[in-house]
Amino acid sequence: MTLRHPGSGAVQLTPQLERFALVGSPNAGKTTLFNGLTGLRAKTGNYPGVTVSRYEGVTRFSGHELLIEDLPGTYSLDPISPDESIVSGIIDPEVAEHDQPRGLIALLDATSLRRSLGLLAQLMTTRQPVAVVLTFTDELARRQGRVDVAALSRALGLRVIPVISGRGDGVRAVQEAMVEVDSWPAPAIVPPSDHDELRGWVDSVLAAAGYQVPEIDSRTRRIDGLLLHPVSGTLIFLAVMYAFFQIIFTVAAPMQDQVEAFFGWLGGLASEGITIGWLSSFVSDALLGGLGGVLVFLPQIMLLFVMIALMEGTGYMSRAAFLMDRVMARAGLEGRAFVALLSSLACAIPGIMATRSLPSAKDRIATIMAAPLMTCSARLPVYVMLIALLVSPDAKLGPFGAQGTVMFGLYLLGAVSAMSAAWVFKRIGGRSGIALPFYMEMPSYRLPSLRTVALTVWESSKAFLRKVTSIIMITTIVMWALLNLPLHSDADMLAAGVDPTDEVAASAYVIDNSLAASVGNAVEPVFEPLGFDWRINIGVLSSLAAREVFVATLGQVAAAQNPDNPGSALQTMTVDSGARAGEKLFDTATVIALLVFFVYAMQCMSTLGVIRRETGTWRWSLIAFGYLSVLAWVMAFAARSLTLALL
Amino acid sequence: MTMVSEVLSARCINCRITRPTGTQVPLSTLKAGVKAVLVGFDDSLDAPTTRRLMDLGFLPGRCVELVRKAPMRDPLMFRVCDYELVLRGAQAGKILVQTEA
Repeated sequence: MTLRHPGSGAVQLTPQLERFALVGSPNAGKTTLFNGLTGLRAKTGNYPGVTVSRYEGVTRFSGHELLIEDLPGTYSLDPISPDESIVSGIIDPEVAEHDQPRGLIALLDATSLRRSLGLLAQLMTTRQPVAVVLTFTDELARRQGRVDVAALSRALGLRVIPVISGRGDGVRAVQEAMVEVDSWPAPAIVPPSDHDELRGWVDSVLAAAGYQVPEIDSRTRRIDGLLLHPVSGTLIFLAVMYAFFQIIFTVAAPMQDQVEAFFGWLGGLASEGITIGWLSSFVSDALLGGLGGVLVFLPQIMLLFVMIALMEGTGYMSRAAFLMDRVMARAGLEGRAFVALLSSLACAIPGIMATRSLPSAKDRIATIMAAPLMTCSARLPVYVMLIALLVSPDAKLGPFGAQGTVMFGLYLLGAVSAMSAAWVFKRIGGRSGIALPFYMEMPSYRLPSLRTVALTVWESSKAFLRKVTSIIMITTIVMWALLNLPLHSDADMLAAGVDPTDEVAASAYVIDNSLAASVGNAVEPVFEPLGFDWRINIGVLSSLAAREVFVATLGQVAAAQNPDNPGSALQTMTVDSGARAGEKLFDTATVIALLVFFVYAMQCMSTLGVIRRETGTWRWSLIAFGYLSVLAWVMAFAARSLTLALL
Repeated sequence: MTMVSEVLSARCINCRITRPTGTQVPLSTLKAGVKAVLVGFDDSLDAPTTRRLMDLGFLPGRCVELVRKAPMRDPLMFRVCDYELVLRGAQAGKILVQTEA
């Protein structure tokens, strides 16, 4: 599984360039080679008519420009999933709807040649020009395996290029080979397809190439003995998950303080330097109070992606799927769905796109409907803000930090809810269709490459910043306007008994009589049972665009109501009317209700858009929005009532 | 249907076993650490699944080892074609093997 954020728009095809396709099984090192060949200039888009992502990039070599296409990983040209149908369609010369590549670059993992030669045999059957790139030759050597590359090339009748991951010379050799595509050897006869003959062909090729089977990786076996042990493995899995959430708080907190201090300093400059009243309010409330309030969470989001990239890079992610598969089976899902749900911890969008590896349409729908319940990185800022209102940073639960424990609980609640939702949707979908097999390769433990980790973090930070500067910024500006309009003259304020020269009282008057307040008050009957007042309502409504906007909106409200100390404004904010008038607005029951509301609510327009794209109809987007909204209200109400009853 | 898909979907017509003999047991019944030789697939296993298992290396005649079982006894980790792969008991139960003994 490779985390990639969704690209937008279709690929601008460059037909004058010769196109080469990278083909190989998942984990064969395709993405590493692709990145090595194209640098960071890859473009993403979709294949015509289907929603499988297409990755293309240009590689330059001694005056030549070549187009490289990274095909989805596949074990066979005999497809069982939408991803794989694309691969076989592009490679099969008789399928007219896709352009044929000029040549195929088949990536074979040197440590599992006996398996990967089967895919190569199928590629050769198409009689398309093929060259072989042998990956992980360094690991083969480390495990005392051997292969004679020249002899392998003779036995296959194909050009074979060995590469070592992270070395430039292999990339250059691949580029050189592509330029010389016209002189690629083509074998006189194609390999057999009958299973007995195929086994014989594979074994004879390997014997001719002097292939020495790599020793069972003793390091991996030893680590697995511990990490997959029924008792220690389960305990370590729980500990890893738990550490995950403690780290988000403890490691990120100091960095977050720095960012906060920086925005505080900027705010000071703005209020001193800008003399035009409305502009000063716009800069300090909307830009610094709102957007700054969201940007503060960048360290946490980066840390989350570092940890996900580390789990993937080391090979622990597959182990987690192995340990959790039985639990997934309970929900009627398979381990691959677990991988899709795990990606949703970053963002539901790559998670939903990862369901393309699921062969069964019913499983896909069930997983897509469950994915928005997994705690995505957009919920992180909301949770961090609300948890700070609930428990103090010093509070402990036994030896553990209370904040991290609450966070762990929220992630757990999200995961359990996602599984239950998947189970329900599987049930509704009926029991039709054949059950296609679940299989998952167990990679050896590897040291994750710093470059890949850095790339993942960079990409996700960029995506977060793009989101902040687009959808979150627009919504925040709209909210600022709603919170400050209509305009009030000094005479209006005096008539209402407010001193217009008292800045705090004046801004409180403006916000309390704003359009936003009217909207917030209008929906009050819906949210009143949850303990929300108009300020929370307006935050919840604005977060329909994206969850982080909730933090931005409440940041604006706080900055307007208590300009001197917006940080503690939320802590001390009180309810101004109704039965709870004068009481603390963010009391325990209300904060818990809000947290639970955010666990379930479907507040992400991008996710609804992706569900539409992946399922081909708005129907599933509407169903997801409907069921999650109802669930959010009901669960928040239950949580609040339960808390009130217990306190 | 194209030539390639025709060739691929015509595979494995003669590797199904209707009545396993006494020494042919489901792969899922092996003990951890035990190796066996794959002899074929249970007749009730559908054709696309059978072909995919072959593409993953589960070819009749290959040696398979059950490496370990997950904490709740499912799924199962196998070693075949020099690499490690996880299957669920439901599918592994349809793969028939012959133990050395």
